[in-house]
Amino acid sequence: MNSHDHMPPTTATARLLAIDDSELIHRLLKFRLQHERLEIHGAINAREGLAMARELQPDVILLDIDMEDMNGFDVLTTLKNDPLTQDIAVIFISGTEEAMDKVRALDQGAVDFVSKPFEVVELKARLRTAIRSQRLMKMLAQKAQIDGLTGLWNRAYMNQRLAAEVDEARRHGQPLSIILCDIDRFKHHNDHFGHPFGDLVIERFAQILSSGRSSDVACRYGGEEFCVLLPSTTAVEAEEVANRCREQLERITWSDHPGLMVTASFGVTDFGPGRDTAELMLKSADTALYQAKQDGRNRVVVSSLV
Amino acid sequence: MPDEGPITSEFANDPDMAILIAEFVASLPKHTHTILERIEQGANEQARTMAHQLKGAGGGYGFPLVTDAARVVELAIREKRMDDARTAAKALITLCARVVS
Repeated sequence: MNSHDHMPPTTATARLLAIDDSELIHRLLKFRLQHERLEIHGAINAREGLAMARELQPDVILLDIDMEDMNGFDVLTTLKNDPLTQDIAVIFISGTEEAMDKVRALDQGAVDFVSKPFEVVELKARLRTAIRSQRLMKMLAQKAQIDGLTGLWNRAYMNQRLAAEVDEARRHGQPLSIILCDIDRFKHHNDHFGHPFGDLVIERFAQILSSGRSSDVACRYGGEEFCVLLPSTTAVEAEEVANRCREQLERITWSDHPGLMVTASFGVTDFGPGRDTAELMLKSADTALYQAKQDGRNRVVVSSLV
Repeated sequence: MPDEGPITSEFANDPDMAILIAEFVASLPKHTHTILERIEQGANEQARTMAHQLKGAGGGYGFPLVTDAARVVELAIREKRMDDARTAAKALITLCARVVS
């Protein structure tokens, strides 16, 4: 797992995109906000703003309503209908004096509304609030996808991420592999040495799985079963990764239980004919994992070689 | 403030704003005359947009009177009172001629 994925919200510089067809406003915003912890970008019309929003993924957008090529409400609708931009906080900043415009903006999903001409201190305060709320929302969404015991991504996230990675592999012809793994005789360890030890085994194994390459995504699939997604990785390379993890686990010395060797079995598969959907890849990896168990555990089986 | 005297920015004492205000003031003659030209040409939506932009920016640069005058122009165009819009645009030009940095 990429460790950056778990970073909590910080006071780091936020990215702001101002979409307004007035150069006068862009100049003013850049000047007035120059001492804030903001990376400021500007778009001079709606279409440019939509493209920049997708590309820059700003934390917050300051959006004008009255623009020539598309009005702010249509821009907001487009942003909210695009998975890439739907979670960006949008603050309308407009000279409109119609109360219904403000109501409509908020109803459509804007987080705030600032009237032009704006008071600088008020604008700054509203920006800070929007950015803070946005980061908390992101953190909550992320927490809901993290396994409490191990800190790894959970199964819900894994399903979502694997589907996205399969799409990428199909679109760009990049290799993609997954590893499905399971701690051997876990129930026995749990029953025999107690649940705290079982939890410790799971935590240590999770550390091993997540300490690899930053591009790999380790997830707790459920119980003592884990899944690692390996973008841009062939099955042969994934097999090497799995073997390294297997060896690391079996080498651990358990201080409370000297002489105990805990092992795991691994099933590896890659994206390819007959394994070209998330479901088929998981099924293929599961078959390989089952084979590894059948063959005596503590081993790696690659499904395309089964 | 006398009706005919110079109009200075509310932020005139902020040295950091000086360049920005100077640029804004320098842009006013062209901006305001273009509004009137667009009205004369019947390009009412363009004129309204430009008045709207000036309304939004004027106060931000410390010229609330510019915002107020631009608002009158925008409202007249929006309500299709074009004689009033023409008069308001001329008043806006006169007002902006008094604006100094």
